[in-house]
Amino acid sequence: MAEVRVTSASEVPEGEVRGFDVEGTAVAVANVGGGMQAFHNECTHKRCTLDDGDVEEGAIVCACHGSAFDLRSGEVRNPPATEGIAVYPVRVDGDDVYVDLG
Amino acid sequence: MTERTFVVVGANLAGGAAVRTLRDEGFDGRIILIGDEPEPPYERPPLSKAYLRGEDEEPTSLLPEPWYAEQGIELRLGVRARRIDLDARAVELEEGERVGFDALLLATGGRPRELPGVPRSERVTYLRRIADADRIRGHLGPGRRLAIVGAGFIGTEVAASARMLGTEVTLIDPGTAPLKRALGPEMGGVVAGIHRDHGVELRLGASVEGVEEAGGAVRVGIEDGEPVEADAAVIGIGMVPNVELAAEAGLEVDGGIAADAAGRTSAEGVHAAGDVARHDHPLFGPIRIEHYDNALKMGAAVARTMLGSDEPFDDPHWFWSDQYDVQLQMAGVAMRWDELVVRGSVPERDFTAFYLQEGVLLSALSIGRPKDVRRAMKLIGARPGREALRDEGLDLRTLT
Repeated sequence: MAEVRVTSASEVPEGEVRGFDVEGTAVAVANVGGGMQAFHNECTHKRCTLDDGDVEEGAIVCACHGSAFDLRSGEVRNPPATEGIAVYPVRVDGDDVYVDLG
Repeated sequence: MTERTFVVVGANLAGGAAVRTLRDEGFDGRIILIGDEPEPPYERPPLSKAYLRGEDEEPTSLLPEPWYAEQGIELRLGVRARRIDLDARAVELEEGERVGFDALLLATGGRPRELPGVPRSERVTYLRRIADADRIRGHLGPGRRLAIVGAGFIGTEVAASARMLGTEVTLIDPGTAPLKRALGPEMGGVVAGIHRDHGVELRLGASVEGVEEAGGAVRVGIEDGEPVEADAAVIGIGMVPNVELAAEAGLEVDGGIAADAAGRTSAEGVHAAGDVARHDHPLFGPIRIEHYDNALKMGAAVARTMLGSDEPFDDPHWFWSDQYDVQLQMAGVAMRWDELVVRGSVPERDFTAFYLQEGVLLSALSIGRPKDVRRAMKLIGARPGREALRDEGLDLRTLT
């Protein structure tokens, strides 16, 4: 799949995480550490939406049970989740945020 | 230099987190993980929730099984550590094996507190391990009656799971509200309401005299009250830390294995973590915590101490409790407080309550607002100001 425009950058202020439906896929976009990161918006533990959580030390922490996923690799940093999440390449062009779902 | 050997007693969440951290941090010596349960470390929280209800077929392992072999972790499972020989720097196992150590971690956990004179049986159970949950599960379902003694976390979570499966549930506690010790009477009252709305019969202020079995049923005797008749009973009246191994070796024990801020016990090279450890918390003072997240974080932190770190373990503590479709989360530790500040609506069960003592935030509890609690963790020990805490429009992160 090619890149898809997900949102405008102003919709995701610094420090925030927002969820979007991108052609049927739940995608979260986080604006942290001076850049945008995109990942599958569903915890692999109990399917909570990850945009309810905050980013702490480069990982999205699920608000439900504290599972943490590395924003670069998608790997589990903290259980109870045992499986990682998909992370997607992001490109910001002007005010447009594009995500490549692969 | 000869290879060093680190021994961890307790193949549970704290012990598992410790061995993982030892390898993650580059320790390449021998690691021996000893546990008296047959399974390698597994997730205990589902035993009162998804696993108890049969939604999870098996409890999730903390680490994938092949990981232990890949990482050269030597497992001694289903075997009890009998004695610590401090002079010889060795742990003696029940079957006679002696395991020498250069550093030792005691993560011996705890066992359910027993109701005096009430032995375990097919119908009278306690909950700590997989086999306990399996036994309780056999008593759940429509048309069955379950009496639960103790309205702490185990009692309330089992009550919720049992009701979700259609079981008739009576929840008995001598206090005036469920979870009163952890949440206080006001918020315990909210939890009481949740359980009543889901059809639990609450018998509060009821002291249990005994539990008798007769004719395929149980009868829970109540002091000055009607007995509770049921098909089975679950007793959840707290946990007793497994301090015996440490105490017999002469380690300082005080309601748990006494440890300093970094998890070192009174014996050189011996450490403690998890449910059994009463550690000198930089913020809360000496404290012993029986929650999942603490077991993981403290296990990891004390592993770093074993590797030479002097970093105090100062996590503010955090836990959740899922009951029905309600999620309760709490951070911090409040033994006493003089003010409870609420953000949101208590009647709608959508709120965060902040526990303050002389203006200092000690703890935060949320129902339906986990984000607040995660954010409040960074404010524990600070004086965020009650108006700011109450103000829904104010992002708690801005108060840090």
